[in-house]
Amino acid sequence: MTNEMINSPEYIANTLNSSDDLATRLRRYKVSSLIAIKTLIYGRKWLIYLLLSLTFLIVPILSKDPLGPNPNAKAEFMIWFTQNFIPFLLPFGAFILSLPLTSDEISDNITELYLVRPISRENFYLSRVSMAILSTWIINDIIALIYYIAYFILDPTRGISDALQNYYLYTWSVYIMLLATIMYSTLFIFIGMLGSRGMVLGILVAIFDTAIAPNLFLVDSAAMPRTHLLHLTSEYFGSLYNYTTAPKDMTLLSNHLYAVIFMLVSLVLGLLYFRSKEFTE
Amino acid sequence: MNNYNLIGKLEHVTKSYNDVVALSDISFSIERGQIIGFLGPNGSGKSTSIQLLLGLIKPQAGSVSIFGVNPFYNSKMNNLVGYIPEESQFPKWMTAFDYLFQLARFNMDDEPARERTTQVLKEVELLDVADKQVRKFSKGMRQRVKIAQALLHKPALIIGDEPFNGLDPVVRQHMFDLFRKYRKEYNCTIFLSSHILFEIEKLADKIILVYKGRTIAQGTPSRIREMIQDQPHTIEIVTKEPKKLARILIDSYDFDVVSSIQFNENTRDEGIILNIKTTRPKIFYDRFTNLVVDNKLPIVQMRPTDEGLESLFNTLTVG
Repeated sequence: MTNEMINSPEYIANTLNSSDDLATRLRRYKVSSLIAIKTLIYGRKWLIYLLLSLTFLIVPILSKDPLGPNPNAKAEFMIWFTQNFIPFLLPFGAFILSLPLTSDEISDNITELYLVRPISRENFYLSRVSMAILSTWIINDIIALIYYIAYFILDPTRGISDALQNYYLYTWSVYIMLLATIMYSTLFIFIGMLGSRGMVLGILVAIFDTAIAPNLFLVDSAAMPRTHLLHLTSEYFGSLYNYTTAPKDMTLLSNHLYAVIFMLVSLVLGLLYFRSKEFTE
Repeated sequence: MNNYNLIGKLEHVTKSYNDVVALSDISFSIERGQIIGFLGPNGSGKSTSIQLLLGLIKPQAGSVSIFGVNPFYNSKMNNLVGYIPEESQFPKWMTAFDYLFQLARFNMDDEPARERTTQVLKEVELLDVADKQVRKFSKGMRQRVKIAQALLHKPALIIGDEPFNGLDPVVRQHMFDLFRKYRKEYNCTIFLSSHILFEIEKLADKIILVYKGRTIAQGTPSRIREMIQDQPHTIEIVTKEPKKLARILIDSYDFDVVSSIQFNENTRDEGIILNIKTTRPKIFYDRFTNLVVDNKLPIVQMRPTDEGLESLFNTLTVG
């Protein structure tokens, strides 16, 4: 194309009237995702989350009786997974990793820099959600893997070889973490869209989810994500963990349906909000 | 069929934030091939108008169109628009090359993006520091990076929000030449906001004056200058050699051009602030760039205050 043709009325008309092909939309999604991942990595919040999560290991490592009253590494890992990780660490991790990805960029006026490029708002939003889920899930998998291996090493009757033999315990945990991350990261990305106010709301939601609701009026309620996640865990690891107080009519299918609906509601609400959001200085 | 000679239009637009009215029934148009200066004091509604043109916000009343479409619901028009933001917006981790390359990839494939990034870095004279993090750049260098990212895809319309803030006179002149080149070679239409008439009058074909959310006058720079030239004007210059600069100014200008020079401590950046009052700004600016180059004066920053414009706007709106 010659310089004379660039920005001629015909050129402008062609640009506006032509539709973007799939390859172009995918390229923009890829660029936006790469920026999101780099922002997450260089933001180093993942490191804070990782270090905070691993502090729970200090007690068993320093203790004379690392596994306490529990009979073995498998049971100890399951107690950590159901009592510490699912109810507290995982929602906190999704909050600390996912929410700032959108709220920081909005507060720093960086989002509008990308929105004046030819990427649709939907495409941009989906890149943020997917990268927040992916990165949070990977960090959670690493944390769970460290705990899994550590408990087998600390068990005097077992070792690394036993950890490898019981790999199903870890792989099913990874699956449960994926469902949990999909729910929480999608929710916190949506809340982060509120910018600096989103951070305050996010803290309140995280406190509500981890401390207030489960201990008060929503204990073992089917409305709470943790109830479904714990029920899933008991279904997969029946011999190691039994969720006796779970609602009677809860099934594997209803757990999965809940996760999908929870994610879709957060995603659709987030998309609708982001589509009409105004970006002022 | 759209009339693509009319690039952009705001018609009777009103926009307010809570109780603050940012724009009140404002109307103006952007014709193809022009360089337009969008002039007004701070808080007059320039940035709000630009955000409307970019589709970042919606009007409460009236209509906004760019290339005949509503910019808020049409990301495709961003293929044709380059935006120079006022605030420094850089992800902390990005080098100058990375920043421009990633943004270019929204518009083109990897290889052309790489080529254009190198080309534009050369044009804004930042190729030597392409691998340094943008956050470590001086204000003037960051400003040039912002200008560079708007030029990457040779847009049909370049919108700049105070793009010359923080540039010293020599670099500013270079950027003027660059904008002229893009208009000539790539048929770019250019819309630049400023609160300083003398900053853009040499570049613009047309100036739109905006004050308190309304357009109050439009015309050629010479016409606007005629209106403003009698207004007193204060220029703030930050330099590391204030005494040398003051001596040169006293030796080079008559008393009616530079009527006072005041030294002030600078708490924000390095250097000392000189506040220079001139009653004949045109003569001052015409000669100043040559004085800086000939005497190798280290100018950190230069910006006229709003005084001259404010008095003009008061004259136009009251008288």
